[in-house]
Amino acid sequence: MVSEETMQAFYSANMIKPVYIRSARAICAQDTFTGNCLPKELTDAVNNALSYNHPDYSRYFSIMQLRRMGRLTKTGMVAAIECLRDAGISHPDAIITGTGKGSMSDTEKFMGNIREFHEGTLNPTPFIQSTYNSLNGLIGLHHGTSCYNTTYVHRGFSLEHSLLDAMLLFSEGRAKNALAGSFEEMTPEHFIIKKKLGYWKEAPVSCMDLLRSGTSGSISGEGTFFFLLQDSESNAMARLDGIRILFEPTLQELTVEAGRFLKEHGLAWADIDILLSGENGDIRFGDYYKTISAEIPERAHHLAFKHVCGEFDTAAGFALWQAAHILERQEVPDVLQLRKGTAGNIRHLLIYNNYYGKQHAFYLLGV
Amino acid sequence: MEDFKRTLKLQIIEALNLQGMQPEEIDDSAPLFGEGLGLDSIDSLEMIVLMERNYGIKIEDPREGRRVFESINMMAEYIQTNRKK
Repeated sequence: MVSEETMQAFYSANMIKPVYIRSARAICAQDTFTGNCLPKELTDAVNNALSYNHPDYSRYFSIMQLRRMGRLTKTGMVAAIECLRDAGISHPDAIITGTGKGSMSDTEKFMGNIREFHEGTLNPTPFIQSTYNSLNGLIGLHHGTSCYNTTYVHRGFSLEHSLLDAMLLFSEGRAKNALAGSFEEMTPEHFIIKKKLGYWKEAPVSCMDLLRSGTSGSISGEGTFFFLLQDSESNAMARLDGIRILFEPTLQELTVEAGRFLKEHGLAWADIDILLSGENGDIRFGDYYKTISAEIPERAHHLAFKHVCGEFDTAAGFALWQAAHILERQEVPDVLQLRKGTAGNIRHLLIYNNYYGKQHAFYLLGV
Repeated sequence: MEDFKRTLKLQIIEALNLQGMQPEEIDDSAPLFGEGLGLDSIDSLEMIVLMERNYGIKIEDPREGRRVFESINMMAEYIQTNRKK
């Protein structure tokens, strides 16, 4: 039985109508930006960290503009610009993002200044960029739009809330499209703090060995993802049927709620063609993934994604970006395969992710 | 004075993150804001921080700031007269 606390903690999206993904863009450790696909040659982690593969920003901004942009502002702006361009939209009805930590490099710079200069006169630029919603503001300014503009900062639920907000806007008829997404970065200092907290593996591990490492900890990652969501099916890559989030569920609650989530959308486990799950190589959380993967049928493909993008608060953005491309192209990347199934026609894809066992999320997608 | 102006230009380039710019490219008498170097209001805040940290000068009157930041020549002269460190 689902406990009362869990019932209160999760946010059901089953009253919300499906939305459609018109375009999707990703900037992460892999060169996903150049061809808007997962490259054949993958970049491996260096000392258990997968860091941004940066696009050529000088194609988008002048030196005078770039000088005041932090690394996360640059990834965010460029991903948003290309996502909107792909969709042929210059003025979205809403700009909604999620981030677990925002611009850590600017936050650290600002905090360092406070300490170094004894809370005296501080530089304005790192302060401006350390605020979570600065990227959203810049996207709005760049596109000359003063539409609905919100940033969610809810750790492992940040991206989910940005998407749910967009879905709610559509359901209420307040928007027909929305630029939604997430952005995250890792700094050397923050890496060390999280290492001390047991987030990363002790010994260096290669990406391709991560999921069979059999130890605790994972590899860190960073990524920026943007999606143009719309309420109509025209020219869509994929359909996002719903999202279900759960906070610290037991294994039994996880399975029961996942089954209920599928049922609410008229599906059963047997209908799932692909499970794309967030195994991060940390044995402390392996049981959650084993429990869910045990439910999918033999013919379904089981894919993982964090060995490619690393672990971070909004890593599910990579899964959503990849899922939209799988459904559009009907191609399953071999490098993500945990278990190859036989399903040829991909109609229903389930993403399951959890962030260090606390924030759990299911995304149901289809075509 | 010429050496000091060069030092000041290097400090401005670093503080404003004017990537790739050399001190020689900044004209001593050209306006720093608007035309000339084309700096803006956030840059003026960065310059106020620069003046306080490097020379112990606090600029609290905006009218005074407008005059001081008119050009490298004006800035250098003002710093030399009012510096506390």
